[in-house]
Amino acid sequence: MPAWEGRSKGPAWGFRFFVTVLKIGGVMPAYVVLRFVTLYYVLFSHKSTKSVLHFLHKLGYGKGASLLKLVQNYYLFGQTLIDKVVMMSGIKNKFTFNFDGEEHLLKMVQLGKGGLLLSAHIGNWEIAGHLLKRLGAPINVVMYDGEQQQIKEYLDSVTGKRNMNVIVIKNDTSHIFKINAALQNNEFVCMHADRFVAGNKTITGNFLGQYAKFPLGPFILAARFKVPVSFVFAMKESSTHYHFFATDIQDYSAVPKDVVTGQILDDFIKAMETKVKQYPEQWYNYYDFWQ
Amino acid sequence: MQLSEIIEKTNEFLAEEFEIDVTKITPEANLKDTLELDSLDYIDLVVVIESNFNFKVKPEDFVGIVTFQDFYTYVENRVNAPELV
Repeated sequence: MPAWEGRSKGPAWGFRFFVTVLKIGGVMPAYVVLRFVTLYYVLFSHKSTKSVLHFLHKLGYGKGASLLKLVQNYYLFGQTLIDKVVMMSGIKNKFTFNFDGEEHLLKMVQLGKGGLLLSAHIGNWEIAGHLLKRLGAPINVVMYDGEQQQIKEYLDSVTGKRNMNVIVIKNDTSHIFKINAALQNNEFVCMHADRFVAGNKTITGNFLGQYAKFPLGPFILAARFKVPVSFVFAMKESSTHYHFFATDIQDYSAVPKDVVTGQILDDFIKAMETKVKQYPEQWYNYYDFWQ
Repeated sequence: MQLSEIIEKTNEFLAEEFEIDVTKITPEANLKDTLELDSLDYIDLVVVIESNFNFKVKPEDFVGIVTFQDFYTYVENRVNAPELV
């Protein structure tokens, strides 16, 4: 079953170790240590490796190129975790950014209807959320509570609480009402639209030439609440530079009910495909994404 | 709005939206089970409530709503609530 298992990678002590290195030496020493961790994952993380190689094969990469990109993938993923801690905790750093499409999000704020920002597990989505502070509108991030509690508590103690509201997806329906309330308050609601947990309703779309399941929830929310939508990503372009992308505002309010969900999915897939082709090493869905 | 109007209107749009026989909607019936609601269906429920009765559903509103009678009472209270200034 090609679903995410609902838990993130890495033991708690690993996070503590890296935070210690960051506080003592800064970002670059942490990246050096990360190289050894990367080697470990390349050698022993067979399931993840298989999924990444499968993905790279879909993009047309041969064996040699795929192996190189696999190493880069694990290394970059580790960097995204380090960078997240650095930026959110205010550790001194030399990160720079450019923002492509920020004007669309500012226009969304002016429209006064709230905004649904859909992203995927490519690039550094947590940085993207952090960067959205610039917009001056309240940000709500919808997420599964996938981190082990002790990791979450530890990271919160290091970075401080996220300066955005977190709406946790629970078995009850409370998150639906909170999302609706946030949108009505002209706030942004950010969520991933690529990963689902087994048992969730899904919708199927053609991604990189093969059908894959996507979680139905984000697309139903976009379709039924009739709010402006943008697809956002934050991609790492060098060891110290991120490039934030936001697509033009997508307005689906006039699209017929029987086709709108599928259309939003198609548009999202197109945006995802564009990004993964540009940045093939930054795909972080470490499970079999296709049926 | 009178309660009888609320009941009639509610039953009509719920039966249509969730494609069930309107005769299955009785005051003591369980809302979630009768309409076979999952979490995503609550999105549609929020939208039809707001569009039919012209008030905003708040996150805490559905706590304690189990039967259709609970739902009618909730809608009646919201629809007939005086506006706060």
